[in-house]
Amino acid sequence: MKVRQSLLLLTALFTVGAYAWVQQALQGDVVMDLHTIGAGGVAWGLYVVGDGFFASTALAILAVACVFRVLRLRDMEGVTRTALPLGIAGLVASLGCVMADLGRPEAAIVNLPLVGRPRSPFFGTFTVVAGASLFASVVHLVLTSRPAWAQRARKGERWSWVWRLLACGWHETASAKQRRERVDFWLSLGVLPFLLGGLAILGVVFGVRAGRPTWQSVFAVVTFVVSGGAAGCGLLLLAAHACSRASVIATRMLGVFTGITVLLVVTGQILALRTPYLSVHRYARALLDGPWSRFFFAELGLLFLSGIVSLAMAWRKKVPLILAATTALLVCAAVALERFLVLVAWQTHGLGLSWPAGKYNPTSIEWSVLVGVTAAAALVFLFLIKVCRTETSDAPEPASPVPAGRRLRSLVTAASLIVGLAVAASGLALSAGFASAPFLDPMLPGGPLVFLAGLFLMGLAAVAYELISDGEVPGSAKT
Amino acid sequence: MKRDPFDDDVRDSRRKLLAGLAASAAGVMVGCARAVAAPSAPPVQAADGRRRQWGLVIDLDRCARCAGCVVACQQENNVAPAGPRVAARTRPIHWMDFLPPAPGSFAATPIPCMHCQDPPCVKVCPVGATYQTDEGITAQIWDRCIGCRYCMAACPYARRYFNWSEPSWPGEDPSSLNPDVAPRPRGVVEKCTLCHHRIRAALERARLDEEPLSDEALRRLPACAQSCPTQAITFGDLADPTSEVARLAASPRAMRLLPEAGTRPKVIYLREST
Repeated sequence: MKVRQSLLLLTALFTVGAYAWVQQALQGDVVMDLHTIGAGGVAWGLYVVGDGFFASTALAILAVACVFRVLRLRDMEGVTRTALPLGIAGLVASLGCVMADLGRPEAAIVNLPLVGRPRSPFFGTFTVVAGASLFASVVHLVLTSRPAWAQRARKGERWSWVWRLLACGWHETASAKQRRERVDFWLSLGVLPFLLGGLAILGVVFGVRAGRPTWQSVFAVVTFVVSGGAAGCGLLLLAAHACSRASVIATRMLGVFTGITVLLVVTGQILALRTPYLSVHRYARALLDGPWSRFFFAELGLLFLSGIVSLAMAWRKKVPLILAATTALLVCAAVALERFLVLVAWQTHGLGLSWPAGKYNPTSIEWSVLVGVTAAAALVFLFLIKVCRTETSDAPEPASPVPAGRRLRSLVTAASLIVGLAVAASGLALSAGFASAPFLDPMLPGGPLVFLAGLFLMGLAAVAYELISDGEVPGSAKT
Repeated sequence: MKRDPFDDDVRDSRRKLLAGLAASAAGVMVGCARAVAAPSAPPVQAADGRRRQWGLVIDLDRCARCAGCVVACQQENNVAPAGPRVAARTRPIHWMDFLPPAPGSFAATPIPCMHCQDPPCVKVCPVGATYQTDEGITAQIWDRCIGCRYCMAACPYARRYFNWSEPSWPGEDPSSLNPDVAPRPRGVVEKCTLCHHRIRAALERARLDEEPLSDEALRRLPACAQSCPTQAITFGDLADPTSEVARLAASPRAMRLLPEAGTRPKVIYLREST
């Protein structure tokens, strides 16, 4: 299918999703098949499943790419370059899912930055996942793309003033390239804890419930994180298919992640069947021979199949595109099912009291919104790939005077990091509401916003380090 | 090929740096986990120096399952009746409801919000829309709720309700509503407040009369307790050992729902005698 046709299709799907969302906004959340828990329904459905799937996959993709960068794996450069747009698109999709799920999204936009509470895992999802990780990824992508934008500006491509603006400050010098590499390393290292932390926080949102025994919560969290890694590797495999070595590494990683996921799912199920907890037992039976058994066995089958295929590809050291795409699709479907079961099946069959078992059949509105959000994410991905595509060229940039020096760069970078850290710490302390009434307000309204601002300021240290040059004459690049 | 010692130094220093960073990250994570897992803030003392802890005792032996408490609660708290569309989708709101009989049991159990001492819903609310009052009531600020329904997913008793559509009352006559309780809009979660407005009013009356609030005046204060024809529901201060509710809570028949959830509910049931 040609690019133009794909774009048209995606735009059409996005329009359908937007229309469904408008219907939901006009008629209320009653258009969804969500109900009161205990009255035969679930309170969290397809949107939250979508949020968990997109966010965990995006975070896993970004984390794996960061590890590759920290280890300076040159073979994986193509993968890491695609990972950023892929991760950003995934995070955008997860944001879309959350906004569609909220009863009052307009209140969330105001209240979360004003009175968000760090005790809630949701705080981590909007600060660490949607805030810091997304911002850092965008910063990383912008910094990585500057050489390409500079080249486009030099070539005089269409919109050359935009490319010139975006690449301002970039000079094709040896020190600039060195700075680029350093920023790549340190930014990847600095972002990695946020990505892994975000993944763990999402795991807590999905896995931890009152009344669920600790071991099962831990199992659910670990399974969530590992299966997120499997889905991420599946998509990275697709991104890496052009490079044989990278794709072989990706297939191995995918095989390992799917293997561990299968092991965790099966072990968790066996333990759940042997537990004395009634709710856990009911949940396990619902997966084995209850209404969710088809989903459960489909998840296991898809995981098993994708694991086998990926290991076979790794063994043969050949990754055909069609097989890579199929494997990616299979593993993503399996992980989406895993999210669905851990979230929905627990609400329908994991209740401790004798409420009737629930059921959930997503409505066409829910499916349409999810499809629309996915299409929007795909459009974002295609846009970023188009805008940030990297081209190699040895043409030196014409010489121009560079005013700033090394001392200024170190000073600004250090100041940005230290001030950012201080602001983030103060924001977190203020949000936590130390010395204020329990469970109520942050000490200062806007504490979460201050925390976010601190995180953003820390991210901007990388920009400062890269943008302020040494004063070296451009055109003296040794490479 | 001979190895460059400089490379080894760089590699070593990087390893040390990575190890140091990993250790620091582990320390921070442990610290954060301890902070999150820390017990709730200590309860605030009441004006008379004694900390009140409002609670409810429901005597299952006395309960006739007439659902009078359900109706009274709906009326008192402006809970919108389920219209045809809402009812068809089985989304009625009942702050006080009946739990279906468990296997081996015959009778349903009246079940309001448990007003837990360690409420999971409060812990997960991202904006502090649900919180615990000084007197132990798990309250909700409707206006602050963003409708994420995390509290619904977290509550092990399933005692929270979401307004899936705009609430409406038959005839749309606003004068039929209780002026003391604000109706909740679409998109927010709501729950039992133990008739907090009645407690406030009683406390204010006692303050104006310059008389202490008696246990007798409290026992039937919430709408559910007031309407119960068999007086199966008793309200009062669990922290006051002389109160009726504390005496009943100390009964050998007393039990709490889902003790394994570790939420320590302040709604206590008296088992049916065999």
